Parts: sequence; structure tokens; C-alpha cells
Amino acid sequence: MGAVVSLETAWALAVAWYTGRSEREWRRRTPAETQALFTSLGLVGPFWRVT
Amino acid sequence: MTTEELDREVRLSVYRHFVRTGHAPSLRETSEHVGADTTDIGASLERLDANHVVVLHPTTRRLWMAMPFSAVPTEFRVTSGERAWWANCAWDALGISAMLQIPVEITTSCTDCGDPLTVRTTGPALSNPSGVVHFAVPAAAWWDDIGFT
Repeated sequence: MGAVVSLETAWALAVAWYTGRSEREWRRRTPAETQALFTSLGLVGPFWRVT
Repeated sequence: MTTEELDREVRLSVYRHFVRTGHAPSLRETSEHVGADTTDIGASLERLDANHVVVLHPTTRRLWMAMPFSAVPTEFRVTSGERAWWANCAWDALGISAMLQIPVEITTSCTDCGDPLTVRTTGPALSNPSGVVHFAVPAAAWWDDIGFT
């Protein structure tokens, strides 16, 4: 069950997701932005659908 | 200070405390740092929780997570020199290195066989990119039970 991703992809996701997270200008991604990020990293399919 | 400004200052204060100490700040510490009374800080944290910016514990309403940080010990210990944090999951453990742009060592165990695992980063990259990460919960359900996710 679930999804298995390479450590490299998980790292790329962590960099994209958390860069700037503790900064003043940070804002939460919209669902569409999150979906686009997942797609850009090859995280596609029903498991990665955010809505 | 508007509600929006207060929430931003509280978020920044919470993150700076986690970064500096490895622990969640108390209401009083955030109150003193932000310059607002503890009632206003508590209300702000509730709004940040409702907006999925931080997570308060469901029963105590104390800070539980400010992703990628965990206020309580987890299976993911992240260290960098003398500094150390708890991360909520593998993604978040990597996220601490990514967010702070520092080399870290992540100690955890394999969810498949239970063997101890160590993952190191250089700050900008993984030291050794071999390995996999398991995501148990589909993305659409992450916030149904974020503690489990």
C-alpha cells in the first residue's frame, strides 16, 4: 500500500516544499500549485492527486 | 497589528524557536518574542492550525508540529553538529536540511526490516542518493489525520 519514491525524488520534493518555509514571505501553496509541483517531479497518478 | 500580521509574526517566532532550540516554544515564550499577550498568541496558533500552517495537539492544543519540525520525539532524528531536531517523517527530515540549507545526519530505521538507517546530506544535496521513501497515505487524505500521515 502507499507509494514508494526514490530518495532522490524525496529530496527534490523536500527542497521544493521546504525552501523558504521559515521565511517571512512564505505562503501556503494552493492545491493547483501543489499538484503542479508533484507533476514536475513525476509524482503522478491517483495517489498524488491532491483533491 | 492586524490578525494577518500577528499570525505571520507568530509563525516566524515559532519557526525561529524550533530552528534555534530544537523544541517548540511555550505560549509565554512566543508571547514575549512577538509582544502580544498569551490569549492572542493562543488564538493565532488556532488560526494557523486551522490553515494547516502548524499543527496543535488534538487534546492539549499545544504545538505538535511546525512542519518539518516535530515538538515530540519521532522515528526521525536530524542532527547537524551540536544542533538536533525531531522531524515528522522522512520527507520532513530531508526538509529540515533543505529549509536550513545545512548538512544533516538523519537517523531512523527501515520501515520494512527495522534495521537502523542513516541518511546524510551536504546541504545542497544528498551525500548518497541510494534508497527509497515510502508514503503511506494518498495526498488527498494527508490532512484527514496528519498525525498518522
